[in-house]
Amino acid sequence: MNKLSTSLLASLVTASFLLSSPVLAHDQNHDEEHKEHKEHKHHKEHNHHEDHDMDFDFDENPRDGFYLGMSAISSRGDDFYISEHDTDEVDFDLDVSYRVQFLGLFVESPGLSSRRIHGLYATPVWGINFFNNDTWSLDLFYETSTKGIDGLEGIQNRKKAKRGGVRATGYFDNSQLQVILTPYSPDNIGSDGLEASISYGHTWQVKNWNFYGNVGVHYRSEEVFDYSLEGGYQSSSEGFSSSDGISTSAEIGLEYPLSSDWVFGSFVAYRSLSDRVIQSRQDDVEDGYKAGVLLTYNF
Amino acid sequence: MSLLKLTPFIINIMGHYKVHACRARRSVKAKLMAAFTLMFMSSIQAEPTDSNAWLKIIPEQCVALLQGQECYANVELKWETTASGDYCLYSSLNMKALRCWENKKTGEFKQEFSSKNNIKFYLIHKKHLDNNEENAQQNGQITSHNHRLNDIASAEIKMAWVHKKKGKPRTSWRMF
Repeated sequence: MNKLSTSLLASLVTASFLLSSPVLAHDQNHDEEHKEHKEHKHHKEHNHHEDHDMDFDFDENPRDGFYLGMSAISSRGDDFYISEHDTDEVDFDLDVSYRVQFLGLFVESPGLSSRRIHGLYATPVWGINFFNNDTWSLDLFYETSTKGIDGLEGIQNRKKAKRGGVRATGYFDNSQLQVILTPYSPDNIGSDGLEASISYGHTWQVKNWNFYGNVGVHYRSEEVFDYSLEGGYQSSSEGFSSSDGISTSAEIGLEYPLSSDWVFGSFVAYRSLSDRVIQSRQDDVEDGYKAGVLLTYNF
Repeated sequence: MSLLKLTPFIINIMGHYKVHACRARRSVKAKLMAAFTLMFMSSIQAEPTDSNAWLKIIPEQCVALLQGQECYANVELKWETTASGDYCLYSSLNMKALRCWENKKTGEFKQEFSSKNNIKFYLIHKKHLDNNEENAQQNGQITSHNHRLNDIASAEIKMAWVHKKKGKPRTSWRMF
């Protein structure tokens, strides 16, 4: 009997996976139809409850789904990690950014084209989206890489070890606030330390052009090792890192939809180095800029 | 009223009978009723309309970056009918005529529009406005209900977007 019920359950799960289908929801008619379907389903299942904005039900997780974008990026600017800090070379990158979430479990790799989803300090991670309401989304995550995002690597603050923690993202009508705390790092020797950041982004619409501005502050405790050109990954025991460090970031940019799949974008990004990194460098570099254009295809 | 305009109504009637017939286990009767209804509706004389009239619109789609944003489009409309007459162009955004032409069988119109919803444009012959709306017509106004009933040609700009709002995924899963 047990065997029968197990195989029945397995068949049901398999059938559910086979019958689940991605729904492109980027035109008005389709989205309204989908919304009606969801509302009807919600009403049917929860009509005996009071209506709550909160949603702990993974089956109805509003962030389930996927985003996939491919960008061609041409950028020019500073690079903290080469001897010739100010270069005139134009970099060209092909970047794939994505976010896939199913039943609350997600894996994502941010890019310049997905700032509105991933935020200013996002890194490639996997995790679980455990809380959503109309405004806030909370995730537990663990980094899969410490590599910076394509197009901005030269002015991003590298670190040695992958980290895990919690992330709260608030999505407002024309803005986004993100707070990230990572108190966990299995790769660190000794104490895990703490990395934290807060970033805010705002979008303005002028006709079909969208202009955005992002600002953020980023903190690393003494135990979180930065990377510097001369010193490699700094360790407090080697005397490079004797304190914690704070760096700042700012970005402005624009986006223009060429069609429902293609988007043209442009950006200017600024990063300041933390005091401890500045002190550890042999040069006088304190900050850097990067500017570029990108063309993105959204699948 | 043309048969074309009655088609959704006929389908609705067929669906209505089908549902009830299934419940009463009388599907054969329901099908016969639906067939008779269809035959009856086919025999109705369609109102004479200019079936060769057309209204073309460029662009057919307006794309905003985010869902819910206002979308802006410079719209270019061209129309043609087989017979000269007095025609007015209306949109679903406004009860007032965008422009009227007298004793013409072709016309052009350009204007920038912005909307969050699809915009429908209707070309209406003035003689198709009923008596109750004569006053409104004189003021260049018409009700949206009569847009659909009286237009001799129509076209629509569909609103689309690249990303859903509030960081939601562009593509969502649907079970079943």
